[in-house]
Amino acid sequence: MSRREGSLEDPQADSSTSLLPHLEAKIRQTHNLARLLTKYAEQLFQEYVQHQGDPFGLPGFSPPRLPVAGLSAPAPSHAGLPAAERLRLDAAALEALPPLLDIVRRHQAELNPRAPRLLRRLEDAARQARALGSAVEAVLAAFGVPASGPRPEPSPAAAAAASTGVFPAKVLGFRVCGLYREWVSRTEGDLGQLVPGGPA
Amino acid sequence: QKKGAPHDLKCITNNLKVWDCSWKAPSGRDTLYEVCIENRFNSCYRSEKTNTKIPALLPGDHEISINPIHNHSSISKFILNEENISLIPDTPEILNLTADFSTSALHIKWNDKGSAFPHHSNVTWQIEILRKKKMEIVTLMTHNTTLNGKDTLHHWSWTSDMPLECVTHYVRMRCYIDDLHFSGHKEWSDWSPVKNISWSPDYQPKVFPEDKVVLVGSDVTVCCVIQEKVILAQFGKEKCSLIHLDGENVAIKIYNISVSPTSGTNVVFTTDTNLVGTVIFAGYPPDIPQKLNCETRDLKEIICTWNPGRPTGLLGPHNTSYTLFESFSGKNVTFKRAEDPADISYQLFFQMIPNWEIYNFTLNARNPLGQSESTILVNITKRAVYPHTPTSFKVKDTNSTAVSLSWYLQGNFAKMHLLCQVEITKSNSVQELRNVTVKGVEDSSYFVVVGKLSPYTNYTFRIRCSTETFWKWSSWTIEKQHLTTEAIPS
Repeated sequence: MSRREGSLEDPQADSSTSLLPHLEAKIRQTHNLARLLTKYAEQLFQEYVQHQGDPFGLPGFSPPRLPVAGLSAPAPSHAGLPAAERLRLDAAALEALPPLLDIVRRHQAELNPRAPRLLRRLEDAARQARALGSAVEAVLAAFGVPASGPRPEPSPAAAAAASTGVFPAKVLGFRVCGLYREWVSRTEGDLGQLVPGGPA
Repeated sequence: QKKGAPHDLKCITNNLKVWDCSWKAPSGRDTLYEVCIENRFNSCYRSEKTNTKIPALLPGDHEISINPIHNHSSISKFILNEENISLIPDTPEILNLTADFSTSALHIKWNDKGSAFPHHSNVTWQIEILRKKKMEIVTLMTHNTTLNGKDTLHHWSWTSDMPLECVTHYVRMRCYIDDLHFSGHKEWSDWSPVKNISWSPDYQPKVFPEDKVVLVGSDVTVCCVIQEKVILAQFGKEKCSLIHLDGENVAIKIYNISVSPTSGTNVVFTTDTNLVGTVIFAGYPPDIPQKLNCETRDLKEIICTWNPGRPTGLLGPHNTSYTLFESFSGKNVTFKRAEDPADISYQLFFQMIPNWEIYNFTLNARNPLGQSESTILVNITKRAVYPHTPTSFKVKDTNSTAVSLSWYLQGNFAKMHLLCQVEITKSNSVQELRNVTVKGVEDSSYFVVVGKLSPYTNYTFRIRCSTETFWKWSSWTIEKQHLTTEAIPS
């Protein structure tokens, strides 16, 4: 697929060249995946919170939103970025999340050994984040946008947080599950803008 | 006494060997005093000051004269009696104060300087713990020892309810010697110089204790070392009142803590910009393992099973660990938890020792809050064999009124006889049980002939086995239908 298959800037306004059917299908499919994972990510976050005990989940419980291993929440300016840049950021974040979700799962496996559903959700989330990240990269590639370079493994900070005590590890998990929910939801939104005629 | 003469003589002793006497007198330059004890030895002591040390005098009255030499004021005479002397021990000294922050324990070491005392005496030490820069008294404790004529080092420990990291702790001590031979007044020594212990914070906000395991029902103090003002402290869902320590450090006190949820109970301190916390795991020590039973299926491996009893409320790294010890062999095996906690079966496998029949098992249960154990003495060949279900069960004709049964039984029964029970059901009605005894073998097939059957009749057979010294039947084999052959016309 050497010919660039349409512009990512604003594909819907570019009336002269409509997206190729298979590219449109790829975007729609990736968007549907993102929408599904947004629902799962919310379920994961609620399940996680429920297993950490009060005050997690109580109104007003809001640990400082420290970046985790170089992965911070989508910036407020994210929405104003060009589509390609947004998708690249989404893909990079989705690629950074699986090792973090693994750290959280290993900690929870020790802390909550009798919460198989939570542990399974964490395991699924790592796999799903990887899958969605790859799908977004594929969409970028189809538009001729170079993929972002390989991301470093999570810095020791993440693993360290999990090892300096149960509470910091609980907060790390709270943070990671929150970031996962934010980035998947953000990816859904960014892809939604590419789907011709709006999301199916 | 004449005016200006020495007066108000007062003597004390620190060690019952020497009396330290002092008196009042007009201050005059170059006054030299001569103190004489009016007794057989008529010993005198000179001093340029209004005090002097004299050897302890025997009980009873002693006349003392104090003569200010080169001074115009005149001599004074006093009656000294041990009963008027005060025993004030030397001020003790804390040689070493150390802290074990992980257990919040303070350890003190001091020397009782017993060599200074002529004879054995009972000593009471008072140890005072203070906290915060304002040095608020936390507790005052007493500790009794005996002076035995030698200098003896003493050690004493105290566990703080407040983590030592969060506030400076101070310690001082004094002593009181109750010497039964001494008839004078006995008083407390002065307090020792204060020693203190504090933690060197690294300016990262931190909460202590970290991830502590405590007994349900205990009181717990949790504290926070922090540079910012704490606006809220929560224990789980509950808001707690703050105990202010030094600087911005604060603490909360939790009374009669209840059992924690699986992931522990969170204790969270919130400031305007930050939130720090720890987790407390409140649970129980392991219950005595219930219904400990050890048996073997194959006389090769012993299986011990038990019921853990009351849940401890502690999982993960604080879960109960079980170890099975066999005292005669000294061997032990450790219980490994299944990955999936849903299918926990509490059992341990112990390899039998060849030609060994009697086993003395102790199952030890341990978690961070304590341990317990159960024991069982087993004669493995007598009352502990629970054979596997016989397999490869077959029925073959022998003649019209007899069939031969064969089956395979895993296990080393070579040294015993097996008692097997055959269930014979005739045409789905009459049921009969026959016991047969067979010589045991190792991992082998067995054969028996079952006679007195009716020719050309439908039977259902199944078999189960035990050992002659019965403990448990194996499970039944699957059933086998069989039609006996027709009788040969006579």
